[in-house]
Amino acid sequence: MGDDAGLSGIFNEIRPRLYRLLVARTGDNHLADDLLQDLWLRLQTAQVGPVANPSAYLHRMAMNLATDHIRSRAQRAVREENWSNAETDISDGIARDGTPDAERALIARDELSRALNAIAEMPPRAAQIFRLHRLEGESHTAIADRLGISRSAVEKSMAVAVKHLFLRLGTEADEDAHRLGIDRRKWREGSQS
Amino acid sequence: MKLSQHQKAAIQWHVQLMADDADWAAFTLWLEADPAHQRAYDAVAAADRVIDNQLAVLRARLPANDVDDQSAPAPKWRAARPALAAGLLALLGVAVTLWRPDAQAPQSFATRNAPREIALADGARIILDRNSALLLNRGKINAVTLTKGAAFFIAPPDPAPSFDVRVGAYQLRDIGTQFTLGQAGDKIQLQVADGAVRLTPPGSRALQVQRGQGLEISARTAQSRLYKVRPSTIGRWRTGQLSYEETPVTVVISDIARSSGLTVEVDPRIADQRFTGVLTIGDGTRLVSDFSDLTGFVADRQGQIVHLRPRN
Repeated sequence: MGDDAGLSGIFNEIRPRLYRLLVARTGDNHLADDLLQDLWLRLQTAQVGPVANPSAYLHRMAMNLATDHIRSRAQRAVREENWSNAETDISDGIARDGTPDAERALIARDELSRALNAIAEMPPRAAQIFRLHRLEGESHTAIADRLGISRSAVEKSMAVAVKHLFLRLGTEADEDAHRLGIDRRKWREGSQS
Repeated sequence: MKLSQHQKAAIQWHVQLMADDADWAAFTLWLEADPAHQRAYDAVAAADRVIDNQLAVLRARLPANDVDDQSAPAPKWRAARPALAAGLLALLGVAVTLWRPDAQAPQSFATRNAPREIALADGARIILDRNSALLLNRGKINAVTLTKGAAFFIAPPDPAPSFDVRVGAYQLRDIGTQFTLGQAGDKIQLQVADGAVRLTPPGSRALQVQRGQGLEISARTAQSRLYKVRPSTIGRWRTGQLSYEETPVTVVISDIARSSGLTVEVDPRIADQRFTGVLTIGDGTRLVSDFSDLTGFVADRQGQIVHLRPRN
């Protein structure tokens, strides 16, 4: 429990800050409370290895819980909209099982192929830095040292990488793009010339 | 490409928050300043969260050892751009997938008392069950002919098929998937643990079988039965068990026959019944008696042939 107890202690210390962050993120006091409670429970039960910066770790964990909540809420809304189609359908020789499990698998596969596309479309340097940071878990500082570039150069490449992810995977990106009159396909073709 | 000011800011913040010295108080203030900031950030965070959710698969697909040499898959058009850094692009041309012609002689695999795993390119795998046999032509699409018993197929989660499997006159293509395929007597058994499989019967249109579905087809009568199957129970013979939940008895019998090396016939009166339970394979000799103890069916054995019938 050594590290867990330490994390719990720091959690209690910065709890008001995490709460304010979650309220700002979700715009919902009750939800912020629930997410904090969830975070605390996870700290009690999860196996957490040594954490270099507990405060940053807890803030990120809180943000991830909020993101997961928002994502699953969005997927639920889509599913309810398609409720009438969610029955097993064996018409025209194709059997489809509309259970959430099957749907989740489909969503996951779709996300995976879009993520792979997003990474393939990144400029080489951005793809390299993205992979070192997000897949291999190296810090911005470590990557800067390794590649002999400045930290702000690393962050610039990461911003390019995140932009590609956002364009391929952002849940509201389509909506926003539509609102802003941006045709994403046109942009992709444009970027290749 | 134009992003909105809020979207650009959200991306900047998201990148800065990845660092250990991130200024979370300033980020909180930014969120509080305008509800539109919150919405923009939600979309960015949700997109990046996909990477966490897919981390294991992405790591497998984009192994660390090629990060430095930049041989990661990249669109061809990029090669036309001027090099951004010396040497980065030098190896781009090397990312050519190895392609083996299908014309070579197939490899033959057969098992007796234990399953055997066959590793293929791109993380695809086949686990051949006990008392089973197949022919394999490795390639970008692995051509497999299942000649006896059953096998568990694992394809990387990719829309492109990894397997082209023949069993009798039937053909199967995977759609980024895990599935077991078996044959016993005139029955072909397919169970899909993940993704989907397209099965083409001879002279007929393709059927698509999804995760959580089992399909039993008689090669003799072409009669088929589609049933639900819990994905975690599929291919459990790999761990020495047979696990069922409301599974048609004929499906169970196919597994028992293969695992025990016996021919098992089933009385039509019990063929449509369902079985729930777990059987331990062991050396296969106790399977028939265990199954008959659990179900109350009577097993009449004559040499290598067992006939299962209802009591009375």
